[in-house]
Amino acid sequence: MSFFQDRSARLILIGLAAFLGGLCGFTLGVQSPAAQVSEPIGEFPLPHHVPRQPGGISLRFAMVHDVLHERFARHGKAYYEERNRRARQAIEKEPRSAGRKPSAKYFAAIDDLGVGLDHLGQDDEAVHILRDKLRQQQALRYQGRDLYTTYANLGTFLIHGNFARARNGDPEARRRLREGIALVQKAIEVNPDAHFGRETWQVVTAEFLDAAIDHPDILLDYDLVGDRLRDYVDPSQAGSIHDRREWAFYAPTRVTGDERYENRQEWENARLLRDYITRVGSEHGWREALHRGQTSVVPFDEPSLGIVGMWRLGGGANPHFALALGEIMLRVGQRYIAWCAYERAARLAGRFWPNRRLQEEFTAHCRRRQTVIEEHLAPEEGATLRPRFEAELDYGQHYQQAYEQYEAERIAAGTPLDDPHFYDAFHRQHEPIASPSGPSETYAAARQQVSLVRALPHAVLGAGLLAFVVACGLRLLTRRAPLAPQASGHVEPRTGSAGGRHTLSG
Amino acid sequence: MRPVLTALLTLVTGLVLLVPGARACLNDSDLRTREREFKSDYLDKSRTQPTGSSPDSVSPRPSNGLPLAMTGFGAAFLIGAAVIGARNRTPPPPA
Repeated sequence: MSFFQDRSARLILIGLAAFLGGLCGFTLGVQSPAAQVSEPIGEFPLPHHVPRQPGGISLRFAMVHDVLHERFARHGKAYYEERNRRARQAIEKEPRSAGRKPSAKYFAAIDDLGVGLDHLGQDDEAVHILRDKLRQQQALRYQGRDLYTTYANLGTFLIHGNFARARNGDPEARRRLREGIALVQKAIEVNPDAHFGRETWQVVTAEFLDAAIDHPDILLDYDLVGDRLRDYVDPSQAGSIHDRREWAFYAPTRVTGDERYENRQEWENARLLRDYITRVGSEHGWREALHRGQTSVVPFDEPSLGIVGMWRLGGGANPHFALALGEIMLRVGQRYIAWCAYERAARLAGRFWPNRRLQEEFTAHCRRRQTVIEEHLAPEEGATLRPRFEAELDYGQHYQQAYEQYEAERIAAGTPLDDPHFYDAFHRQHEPIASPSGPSETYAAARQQVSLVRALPHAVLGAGLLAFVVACGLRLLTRRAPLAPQASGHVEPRTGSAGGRHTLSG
Repeated sequence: MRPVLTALLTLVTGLVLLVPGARACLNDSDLRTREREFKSDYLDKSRTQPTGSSPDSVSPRPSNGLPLAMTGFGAAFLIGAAVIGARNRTPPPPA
């Protein structure tokens, strides 16, 4: 009798196979994501809540959400006209004599007048008065940080006033545009930490748009920080922390309760946490395409804050800013905000570049990105995105209109701009416009553990599979083996006669 | 011809006016107040309410479907293997 024909032997072999399969399955199961259990240990701020400088401002996603929906107060035309009138009065009142140092108020009034003119679209006059201010300061031997606002404002006015003409091929305007960029760079040199690094991103933006004058198609390849537009980004795989496991380990011990980090020592202790911030920009080919400017990856909060600052405190909505915010938010997994950024960018496509093809391709890119985001959301959530966006934007724009109208009425009523209660009545009538920070601003830290119970299904499947394969194999072998004679003696031998059957009996 | 040229010129002028340079760093007497308000609007801890996406979390939610299916298939294979292994080969019927 063959070994395989013994039932007990077969069952022992199958049992061994089941054990071996179960062991393999269990080993695989323990390593599978299903077996990784996380035990919540608390909620902590995200690494980008640690500012770049002690006491500096740190990014909140609500800030990005709010600029995209215009949820912030903006001064109107009436405000700047009135302030310009007062600034001119202050400048005229200043007693002037050769060699006499003007008061700080005098130079501040020139800055106010220049900024006011810039807001009203009178950049050439703004440039003229700031050039005059620079000459006066240089004559008085002002140096370094004392020249900061002059460099920054003059550079900005030159950029604003000459960009459109430079793009249309005016070489003199192009020269002044580059002079403006160089002046803002000088402003950064003399005061590197001013305005949470916003000026750095102003230079990056201006250099990017300057490069686009020569090669407009760069606008369809990259956003202004160097994120590639043609690459697929899976928002479900992205997050604002680039190494979550390590962050979960460090966060409970390093993050303090004071998110403002006014205390330098606390900030020093926490600043290494910024290494965990997801980095963006300067993606493949960017360095070769731009030849200058920002050519390294940066923590995502830096360009985000820069753009938010330029949007709020500068010229407002801009398709290049909206696109860059969309690309950045997509890369840190903020799907809802990214979707809104693309929606806003697409709605601003007419201001992207004066070229119909570029505008159409830009809009198509925004729509493609939105489709990718929607694919990662529940269908019912995707359907609510546009109505929500429209309601939010409408709310923000109405707030800004009401704010400007209120300013105009108060000014017409003779209320001075420096009245500390100028806006009191407005704030009594309106809710605070800034969105409160939500759950996306916290990190739910958890301790990782392996659940052996969750590996059992893998073990059962492994055991079953291998046992079944072995059982089938044994069955095949048994079939091929010759059948052994039965031990009882009741053998029925075949005879040579056809169909004959003989029974051997006692 | 002239109306066409006029229309084109208007369109180009309109587009040029519509496309602004990215406006940015303006330093005036209002800036400090604005930055202070900006900071307090967002860093004030008393203001919390859902905004944006869900929090960054490390806990993947386990799904029940797959483990159940794996266990079910595994058990079925085990039973099948036991039945096959336990069955003896029957001799062919006598001719």
